[in-house]
Amino acid sequence: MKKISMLLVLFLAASFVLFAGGKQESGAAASASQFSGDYAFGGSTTVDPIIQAAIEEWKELYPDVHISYEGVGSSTGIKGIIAGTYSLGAASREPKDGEKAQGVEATHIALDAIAAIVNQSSVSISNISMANLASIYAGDITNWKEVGGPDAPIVVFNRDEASGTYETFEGHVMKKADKEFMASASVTTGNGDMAAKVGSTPYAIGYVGLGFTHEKGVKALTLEGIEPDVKNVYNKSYPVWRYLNVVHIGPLSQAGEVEQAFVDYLLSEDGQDIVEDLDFIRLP
Amino acid sequence: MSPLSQTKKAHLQEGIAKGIIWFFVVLTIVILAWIILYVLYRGFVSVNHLHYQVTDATEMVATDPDHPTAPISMIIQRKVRLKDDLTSAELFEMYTKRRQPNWGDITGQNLDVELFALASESEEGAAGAEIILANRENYSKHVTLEKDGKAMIQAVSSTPGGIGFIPSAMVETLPRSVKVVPIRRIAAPVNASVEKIVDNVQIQTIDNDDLQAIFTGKVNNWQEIGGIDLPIRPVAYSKNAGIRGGLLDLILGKKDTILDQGILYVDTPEEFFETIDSLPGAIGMTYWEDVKDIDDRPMLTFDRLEVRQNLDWHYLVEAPARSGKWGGISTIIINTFFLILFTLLFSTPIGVLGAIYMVEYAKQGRVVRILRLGTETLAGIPSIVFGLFGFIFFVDMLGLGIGFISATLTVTMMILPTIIRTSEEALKSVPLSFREGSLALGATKLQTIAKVVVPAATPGILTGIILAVGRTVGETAVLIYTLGSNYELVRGPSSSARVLSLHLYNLFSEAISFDRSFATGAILIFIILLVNYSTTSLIGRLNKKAGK
Repeated sequence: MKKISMLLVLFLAASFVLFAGGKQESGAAASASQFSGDYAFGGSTTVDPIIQAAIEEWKELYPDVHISYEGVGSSTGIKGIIAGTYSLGAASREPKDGEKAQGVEATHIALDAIAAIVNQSSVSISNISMANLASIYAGDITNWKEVGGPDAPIVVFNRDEASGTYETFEGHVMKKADKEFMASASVTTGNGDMAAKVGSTPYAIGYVGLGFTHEKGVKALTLEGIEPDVKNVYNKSYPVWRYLNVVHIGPLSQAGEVEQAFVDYLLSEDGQDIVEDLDFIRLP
Repeated sequence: MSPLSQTKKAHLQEGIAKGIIWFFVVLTIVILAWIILYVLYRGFVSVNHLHYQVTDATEMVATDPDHPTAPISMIIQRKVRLKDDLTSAELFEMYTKRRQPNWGDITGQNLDVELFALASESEEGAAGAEIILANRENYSKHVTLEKDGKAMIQAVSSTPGGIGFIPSAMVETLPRSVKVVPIRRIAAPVNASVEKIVDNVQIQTIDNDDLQAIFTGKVNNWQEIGGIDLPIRPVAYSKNAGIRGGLLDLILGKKDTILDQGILYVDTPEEFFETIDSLPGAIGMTYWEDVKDIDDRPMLTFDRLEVRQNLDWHYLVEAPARSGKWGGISTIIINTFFLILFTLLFSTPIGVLGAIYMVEYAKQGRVVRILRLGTETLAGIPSIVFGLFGFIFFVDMLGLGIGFISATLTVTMMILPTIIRTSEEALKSVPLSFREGSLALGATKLQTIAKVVVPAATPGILTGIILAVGRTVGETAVLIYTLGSNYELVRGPSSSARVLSLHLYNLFSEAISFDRSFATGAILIFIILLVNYSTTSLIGRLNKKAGK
């Protein structure tokens, strides 16, 4: 027994030494002219493509900076920046009051519309009203026939509650119709997952960010006859849209030099071109 | 009952039992082979139905005398792994995009598209601009202008990722480093009535056979190819329409069964669109760039079956980009081996020494029984529970953060019971006489263990370690919240990383690419096969050695 406990102590000690080495490395100070070091960002799966693309562009600008981004969902990302796991977060929704109280602030980096999508080959309708959409998600309408589609039960896909897309959809569609999500919908883990499942499940309905409406097998519905596109978000006629944000503790100027430079890059012409390139909407 | 019938009955029972056993043996083998072969097949071959605004028919190949040829031909540098052709829409996007385009979107390789065009003063330059830009936009700032075909060939052949166009007459003189790309640019605009939804029926995609059937009169109503009840009115350019007059031949492949009556012939694009707009049920073929209001005009989409090689050596040696959408998995494979190496470094000494203690030193009493029960229970716990433990303990409480060291330690915890259990069994199966013989010769206990017992148990211990490697390679749940998802090469104990199994999970759950998921799955299978094969051969060799 003595030997085993000795071993365990040795083992833990070894891991601490390793850990200390790691921290030193990541703590390497960033000089103003040339940044370097390891940085961990995390948050929304919706914003994931933008951040990943920007990180890859940054590799050419600052080869010594190593940024990782974890697509864990907006809420988990915000928790992560509060806990210090991430030095910069990304959220596809605005911070809530409780989060603001802990110092979380957001900077807009793009706009995004949320589109209702259906399985292309089985659902023939191409338009839906806000009220009907809310009723489908509340479980009041269960057959496509009731909204002018084929006589088949509606397969409803929803997102997890950590998702910013979920909350935006809830705020813009469900709350407006004074309805609540039904509990029995299948939960998907991300925009990509949602698009893949709706695209492969007959009679399915779901909702995704604008960047995912061109995935295989899905069709975006018009809401009240208004198409989810850039033009209609700018003129505010398409109702379900939101800002995509990066989130940080305190004002951006306190988030760290590299973090600030990264956000500046996202807001620059180049960064906004990335946003547009990935089918999101650049800031007006 | 006579003894004879009893024997008969016994024989019958034997036969039935054998039959059942054989049935299950065959069933198991079939299922296993099917799973492995299916994943490998999907790993190597990608089969996709893709939808396009243009038909399958390609143009701009001057080498085929039967096809109408545009005045220019698109050329690319041979390093671009473009398998067959491009569509006009893809060309248009490349040449007008604000950001520099990347071949990743089309070929999967992470390579910037270097765009070249001929200056529009020349005849070919003007023709190229008309075909590529469709009179809608100007070239983007990333396009470099070249003065003539010769300079163009030189520029494209010397620039990785280069694409440009040359006068079609020059195609014969191309060097090996450059190849011609056929372009699909024939779209099928229809009258708005065709895409209406009536009684929940709306036309979906069609394919080339459908289009041929329409223009040869084999199909006369939209209902027959999945649309609504509406007569089809085909519209085509007449022979007087210059190059567009050849479109019909191109689609029908020079078949002489062209519908004589029924097709409405037009001479100019203006006339063409007027006819399409005013005639219910109308469909026609024209160049994609002729369609001015491309976003608003009803057009049929074409279904194309694309069968390609999926997994190739590029996938193994290129670094991933864009969450795995582009590039390969080289860094991820290396990360996987790092994870295996470091978990073994931690777990093997602890596991084996622990087993030696439990078998050789510990008093076989209550404590050992409890320890044994503990390791057995731990070995059976679902890995996600270890993931939870690792996240709370290593990541959160010890503050190691999501990264390589947290993952290594968590996986070590997870595979320790496996190593301890198998090592224990291996040590226990060493006959007592070995130990007695050694001790009788005057060796100390330590010498006996180091020189006699452990060598004799090595094959068993190795099996346990290899089992652990197998578990590490295949593990996902433990790693999601301890290792992270960064697809760069691991750079230190605290850097977030991605291994093969996690990569597969991400590719699949984020719907990044099914083809790439299967390719990664195939690689995983290969690694496991390799590990298992090397174990059996190693153990075989060790046994042989011991036998000698």
